[in-house]
Amino acid sequence: MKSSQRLSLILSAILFFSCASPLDFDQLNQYSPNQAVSVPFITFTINDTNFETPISPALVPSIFKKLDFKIFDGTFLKDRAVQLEFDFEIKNDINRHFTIEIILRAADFDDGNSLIDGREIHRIALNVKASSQDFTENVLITKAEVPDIVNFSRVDIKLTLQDDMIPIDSIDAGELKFKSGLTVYLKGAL
Amino acid sequence: MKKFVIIFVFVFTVNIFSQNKQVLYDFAGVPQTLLLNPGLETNLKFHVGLPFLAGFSLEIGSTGFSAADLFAADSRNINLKIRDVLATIDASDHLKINSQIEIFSVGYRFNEKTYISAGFYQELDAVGYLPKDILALASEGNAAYLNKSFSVSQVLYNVDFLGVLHAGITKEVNKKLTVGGRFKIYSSALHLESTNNSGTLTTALGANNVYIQYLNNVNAEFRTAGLTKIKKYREDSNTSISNVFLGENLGVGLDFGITFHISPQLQFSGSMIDVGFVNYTKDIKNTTTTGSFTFEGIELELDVPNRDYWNELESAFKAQVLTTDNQDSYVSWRPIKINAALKYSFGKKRSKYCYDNTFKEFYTDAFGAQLYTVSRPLKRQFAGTVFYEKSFSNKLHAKVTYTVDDHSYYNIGLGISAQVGKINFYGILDNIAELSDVSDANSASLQFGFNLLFN
Repeated sequence: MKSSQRLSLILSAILFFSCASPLDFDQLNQYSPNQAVSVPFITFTINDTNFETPISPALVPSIFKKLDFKIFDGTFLKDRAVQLEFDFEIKNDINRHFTIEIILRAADFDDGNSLIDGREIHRIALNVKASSQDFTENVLITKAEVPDIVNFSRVDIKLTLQDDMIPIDSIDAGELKFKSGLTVYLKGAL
Repeated sequence: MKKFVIIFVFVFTVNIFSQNKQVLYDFAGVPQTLLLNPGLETNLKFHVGLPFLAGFSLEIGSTGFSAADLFAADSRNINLKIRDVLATIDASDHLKINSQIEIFSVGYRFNEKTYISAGFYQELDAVGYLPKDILALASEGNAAYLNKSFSVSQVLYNVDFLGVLHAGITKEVNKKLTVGGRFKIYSSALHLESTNNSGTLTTALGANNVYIQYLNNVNAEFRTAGLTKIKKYREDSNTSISNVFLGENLGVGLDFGITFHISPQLQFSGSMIDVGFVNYTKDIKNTTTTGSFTFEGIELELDVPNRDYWNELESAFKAQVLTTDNQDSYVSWRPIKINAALKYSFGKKRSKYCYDNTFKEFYTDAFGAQLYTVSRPLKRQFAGTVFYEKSFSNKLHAKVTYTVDDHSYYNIGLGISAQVGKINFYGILDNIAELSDVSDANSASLQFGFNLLFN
């Protein structure tokens, strides 16, 4: 066999036996990653003096603050969030029991005359014992249980002395440190 | 959209990369070898490449995974495949695509010792490193990676779609030495690049809150040129195709090459290709992001009424992490390619008819080694090749190569060049060991062309 014929034979064999496994690029339509995104949430520190009026001392039984937290303003997270996980860590040096409520609300709306509070979507209540140094709580809220949870864009924080008739005296004085984190679990196409 | 995003991230997460044409280099006097080394000897009186068919090359390659790893039509879930690929790759893995089409190509022997060649080719050239950190963050989030710093520097890509008008000269200095040079005018239709980025994103357990997030010294730049015209072309196909093929952003470059006969049978050749740049001045949109930001959550101040914490947070972020757009012109250097080869010829002596009505003797067999290197954004890349070349007759030649590079340790290439009458055809297949299942290969390339040759 001549060399050129041998070359032709080799080339033919290579091309004949070459192939490619079938590829399916449409699989990407099924790609649905599970992501978990953690962000720091709200923190604050109070001390016993926050529970009395500054001028003529009188007991303030509860403290209330509200703030916007518009993490779900865009559609990306809102469409994909399936579960929210809140982590709370509280150190209470005040020798009094507290209830801390975290109220997740929809955005406020303007009725033309005034700004109306957004509807309450979910409420988390934490009972913190007196002088509790290592209070932790983990709260899971699934979209299946609370479908509206991804519409929260405002957070109300309410601290209430559980025995709100007795002022905090100097022996019970101290401060309460509140920390929180939020993990949003996502599922769905990128 | 989903497909576009993923393919963009995986494929066009892409710097100019040029194909190693180890089989074509100094192969059988094919005119296209002059584009790899303008100093290679040629026997031609003149040549004309068939329009759009003179030279076609395509190379697609990846390191770290193959197309089948992701897209094999099997029963495995795509989520698992992507997870496994992400676990396998590292930040030096990359994807590349290079395609070159010669629109026209001509050559003419000016005198006994001088050959002039010219032409125009279109090139799509793209490479993107896989930003493993960013891909992991996008697919899994940060919760499983507390204290890990996700690096922005891994975002590294470059895409260039350009036309190259060129003219070169090959000059025989003496019987031992031939030198050559080529002048190029680059005309870029589209350029996308992001290189030299820096910065990290870290989420950690905090002291003042449950988590703390740092965006540290982020400095990222995304440059584009020609996007508007590409978009217009996509929206209105009647828009002149010349907008795509003849861009407004111009550059110049030079190729150099030599061939030196150490002995009658031992030859050294070398070249430096694309020593040049493109100056991007038109249709530019650049985006830069710079700054640092630390987020420990929203700290309520109980004594301050009616504070708009969220707007303050947004304002602070925008003030500390600046994202700006500009139309500043910029220069992008072409990746310099260097070829070097040592070739030992042996076997029977044959003679072929030459341009000057004489017969030139040549050996039927040759073997040798070649080295190819190209400058890359992350690091210079190398490919080493050994080859064997055989001339079955004056008209039929073949070359077999074995190449080790980033993509494969067993890349076997095969090329043939045949001439029927005045028509020359060459065809080259690379990585033939993987041809039994191309989809499972890390790289695949082919080149072919038709020329009219006149000796």
